[in-house]
Amino acid sequence: MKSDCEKLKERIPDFLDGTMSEAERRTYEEEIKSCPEVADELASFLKLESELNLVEEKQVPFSVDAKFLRMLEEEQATIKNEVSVGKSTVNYWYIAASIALVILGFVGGRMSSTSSNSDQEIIGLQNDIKDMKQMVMLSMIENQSASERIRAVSYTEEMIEPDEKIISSLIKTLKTDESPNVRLASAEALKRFANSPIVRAELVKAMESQTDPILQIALINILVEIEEKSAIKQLRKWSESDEINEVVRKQADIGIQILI
Amino acid sequence: MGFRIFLISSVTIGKNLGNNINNNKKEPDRLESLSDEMLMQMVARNDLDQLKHLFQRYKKRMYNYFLRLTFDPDLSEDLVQNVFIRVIKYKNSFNPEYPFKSWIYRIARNVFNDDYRARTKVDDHVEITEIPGEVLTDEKSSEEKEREKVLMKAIHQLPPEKRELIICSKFQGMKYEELAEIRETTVGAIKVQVHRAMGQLKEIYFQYEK
Repeated sequence: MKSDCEKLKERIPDFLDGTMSEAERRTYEEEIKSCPEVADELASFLKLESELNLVEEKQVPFSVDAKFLRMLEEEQATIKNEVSVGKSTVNYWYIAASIALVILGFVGGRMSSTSSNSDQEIIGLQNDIKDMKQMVMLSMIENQSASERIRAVSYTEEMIEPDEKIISSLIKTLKTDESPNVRLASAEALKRFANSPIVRAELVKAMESQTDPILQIALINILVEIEEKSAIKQLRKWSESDEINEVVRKQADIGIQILI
Repeated sequence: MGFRIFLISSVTIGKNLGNNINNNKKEPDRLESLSDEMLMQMVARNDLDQLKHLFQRYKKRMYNYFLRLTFDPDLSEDLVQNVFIRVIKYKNSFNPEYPFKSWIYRIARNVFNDDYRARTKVDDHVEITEIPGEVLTDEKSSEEKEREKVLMKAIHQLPPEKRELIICSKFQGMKYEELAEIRETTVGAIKVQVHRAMGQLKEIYFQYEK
């Protein structure tokens, strides 16, 4: 059997960390009067706590900021390099292979053909390349890996006039892709085709289904940039809803002011 | 790889939009009010500029954390730097469903442990003989500073694990819940550990004081 004093001693942490109510604390302080050992122990803990409380945080030397900013710049430069390397090697890799195939077919075709109507063949060739790129894009967008899907979206960068299939696949991706990164890339890609009324309408519609604040902000920025006034309705909804992130709400307000 | 281009351009739009508004009146940086977790998500998407906000929010806590752990201002500067290098290096492993704060403290803990291990390997006597004046609170009388020195000496005698608990719970005002998350244990276990560390500190401190 534990003595009363031992039991009281065990409750010191509760007293110190504020788990006890005000009434409990008062009773406890009364009770330990009969156990001087416990009272002493509590007193020294309280003294230690008060000493600890007197310690203040030190200012951070300016050199810490300087070092950090230098490191950040270096990291940013590395990322930029990766992007340009990625663009020149990875991005064109598939396309180069497709084009090589088409040219092979073309040369082969010419060699066996007796026709002299080469202009038409060149147009045919260009169309073939275009089809090929679109085909590659459309099949890659179904890929399991999010980074492959983003790569597929990035192919549309080179398409000046993508056909409906491409656009509807981008719209579908924006609305349904599970990865926010892929959705973001699709939104950005669609912005380039904003001269199409369908694309503009779909970008506005896409607002309804996006719950990720980063995507919401990206969509606001895009719609403001393309000056799509029909977005105002949804912007108002966002700016008035309690469920929307505060920053998004502010951004929506700014967007409304600009668009009105 | 291609997605980075899009992400960067999305940030550029953000900036342009901001500039347009800033023409008339000065608008506070809108990103400053974003949560830590959202900023970190943006960093994970290679928008490293957002790390500046997180750095501003955490540099003081991080610097003081290392300063109280190591009592070495120069080393603390390096360790703060290492924390943010790791934040970038492991940016993709950040899970936004958990608080950024616990994540960065977990990184800080590992940074300290790795450094401590490396130094004890070379020299098993990493203990310091004197608490440098730079680590003591500025606005204090010399008598108060002497007392703080005694307290710091006592803290320094604790094993690093316990020292860290005292620093986090007493100097950095962290809750048991937060500590439990960082150390991947239960609140109950943390409560016991903090109290034990305090008990040991109390013994050392009052011995010194005598």
